[in-house]
Amino acid sequence: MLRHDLRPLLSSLRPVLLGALLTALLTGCATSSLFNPYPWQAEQWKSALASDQPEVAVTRLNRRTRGADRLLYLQERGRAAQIADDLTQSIDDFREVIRLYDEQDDQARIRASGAGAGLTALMVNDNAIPYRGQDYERIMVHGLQALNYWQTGDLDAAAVEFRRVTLEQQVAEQRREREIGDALADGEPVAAVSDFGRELAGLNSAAASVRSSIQNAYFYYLAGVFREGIGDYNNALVDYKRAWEVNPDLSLLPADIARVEARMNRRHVSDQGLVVIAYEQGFVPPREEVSLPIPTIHGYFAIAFPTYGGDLVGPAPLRIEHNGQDPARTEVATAVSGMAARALREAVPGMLARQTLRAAAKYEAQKRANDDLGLFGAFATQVYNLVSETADLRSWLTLPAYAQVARLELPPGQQTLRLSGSGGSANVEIPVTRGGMTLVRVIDTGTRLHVTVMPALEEQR
Amino acid sequence: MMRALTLAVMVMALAVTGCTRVQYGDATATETVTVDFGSTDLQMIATSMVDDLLRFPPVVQLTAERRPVVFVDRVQNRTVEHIDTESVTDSIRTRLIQSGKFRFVDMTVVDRVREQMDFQTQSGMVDPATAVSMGRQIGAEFMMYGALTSIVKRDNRTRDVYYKFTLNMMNLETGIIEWSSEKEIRKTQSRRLFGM
Repeated sequence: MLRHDLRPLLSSLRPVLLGALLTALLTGCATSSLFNPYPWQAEQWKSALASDQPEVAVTRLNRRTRGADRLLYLQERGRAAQIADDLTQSIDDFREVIRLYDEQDDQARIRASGAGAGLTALMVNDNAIPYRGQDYERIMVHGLQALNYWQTGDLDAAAVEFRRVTLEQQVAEQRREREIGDALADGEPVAAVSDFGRELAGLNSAAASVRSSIQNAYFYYLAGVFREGIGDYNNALVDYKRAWEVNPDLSLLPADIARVEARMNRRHVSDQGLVVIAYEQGFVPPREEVSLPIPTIHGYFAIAFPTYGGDLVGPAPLRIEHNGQDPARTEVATAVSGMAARALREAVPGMLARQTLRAAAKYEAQKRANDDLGLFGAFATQVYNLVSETADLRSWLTLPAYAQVARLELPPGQQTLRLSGSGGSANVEIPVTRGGMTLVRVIDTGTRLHVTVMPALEEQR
Repeated sequence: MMRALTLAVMVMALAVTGCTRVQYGDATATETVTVDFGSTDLQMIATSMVDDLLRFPPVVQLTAERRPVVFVDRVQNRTVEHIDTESVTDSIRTRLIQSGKFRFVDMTVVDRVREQMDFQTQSGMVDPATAVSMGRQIGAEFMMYGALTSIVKRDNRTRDVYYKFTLNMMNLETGIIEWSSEKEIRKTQSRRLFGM
């Protein structure tokens, strides 16, 4: 009876409801990536970071950190604040990001609110699903936060974050193994779908440049440097060995491992001080969209998915001069661009599955529109179907493309280094202590070098 | 019909805009919001350490006649959480002082004490008769130090955390560890299947 009464009411309300739904979908586009591709938005703060006033990037991000994708924008702002030397802001933002990630771990496995976003994603595109971050990004957050704490001199907090780096990599690696195990048990193909071989060629070649989308040799190495500096040789050795396992091409590691083993055995190592240069070069490339129109008898449909172009810019080393000599160059520890590509390639099967469902939903809508809504309605639906189909291009874009390291041994005292990279050159005064550890961190935005010298760690006896 | 609909809308509105509520709770009640280090863990550790120390036979003997002076060095945080270990040692120190068996010196305020002493002796504003005299503080006989470590295991369904708190008391003169104790805590949290 009630249903019968409601029907005329609902039918009279239908245009209003439809309008409300459309308004809800279309508003807030400025701060969401539903119809405004994320890499275009990111250009606003990336260009500010490369300019003389990197702090402008932080203000440009302020407005965006409240929406459904706030995890993503907070990651961006935390990193932007770090480059702009606003450590308080950066620590606050990363702390919030870590809280959001931890909250995800505790969320129910099947969520009602997730279903709502999934439904929108089914009618619009994948950008309607709130950004949940990626494993390699989560690990980078802890690593960058550790460097923040180290810079402020809070070594206990830095130690906590370095331990989180290790923990998160273990958890992510185990999860990945289990997923592969489950997929094998279900007889599903583990590799990415091969039907789009040509479109995914660039992605595949970029992904091949790293061994894992999770293990991060750069932060293993810096964790080793930190722990060696505070006298925790046992764990430092484990970190260096892990870094070597992930990236066997890193030529400075055998000497590091030998040195820490000597220190563990209480042997005197050197009268010199160690200086490690951590060089974060460029910005990780944005995802690109591949869009393929598919003609059917009811009209055109588009399928769109993200990929990485094949022409990734290669790494460029930082040259380090001391007293007019050229003692070292940095070498790549982690190709973050490769990790991003590998992570995307692992996500492609899921994206294609949603794509298929969405194509079916939009096809059904088009068929209805053709039958019921007349010429104009059918045309509008057609345009909507083509325009709304945009790929999910969201990823953390202020991360460096390449994270590199170099190590020098210098006599104790104040030393001057001359650093030159693709973004320019700089002279930097650093303190070196006998048997101690000094970390110099250089962020190269392509036009500028941001150099910070971490508080030196004295040798522990 | 319209009335029912209006009513429904109003109920919805009330449910959505519900006001915040503040209430006082029992500070010692068991807190199980998450498996992260929380107030209950802190209290459990402090209680366990203090009970253990005060029951330990050599310590009972030691404190029967006199109140030894102790200083708290620090408890290393070796977990994956940002934990204020000073808060744990503060609780332990407070309870030990309350027990009347120990006296403590505090190394964290030495600079401010010196500042005040300099003011009393050198500024010329304080009556020398009432100024505290230098070099009369009592040296600590024992040092307390320890570590808090954790092992975390996590998968899609559960999170398991194991904490171990170790506290040692060393005789500064002889270098002998006179007392040592540890407290283990294990917590497991499983994710709900359904939720918002």
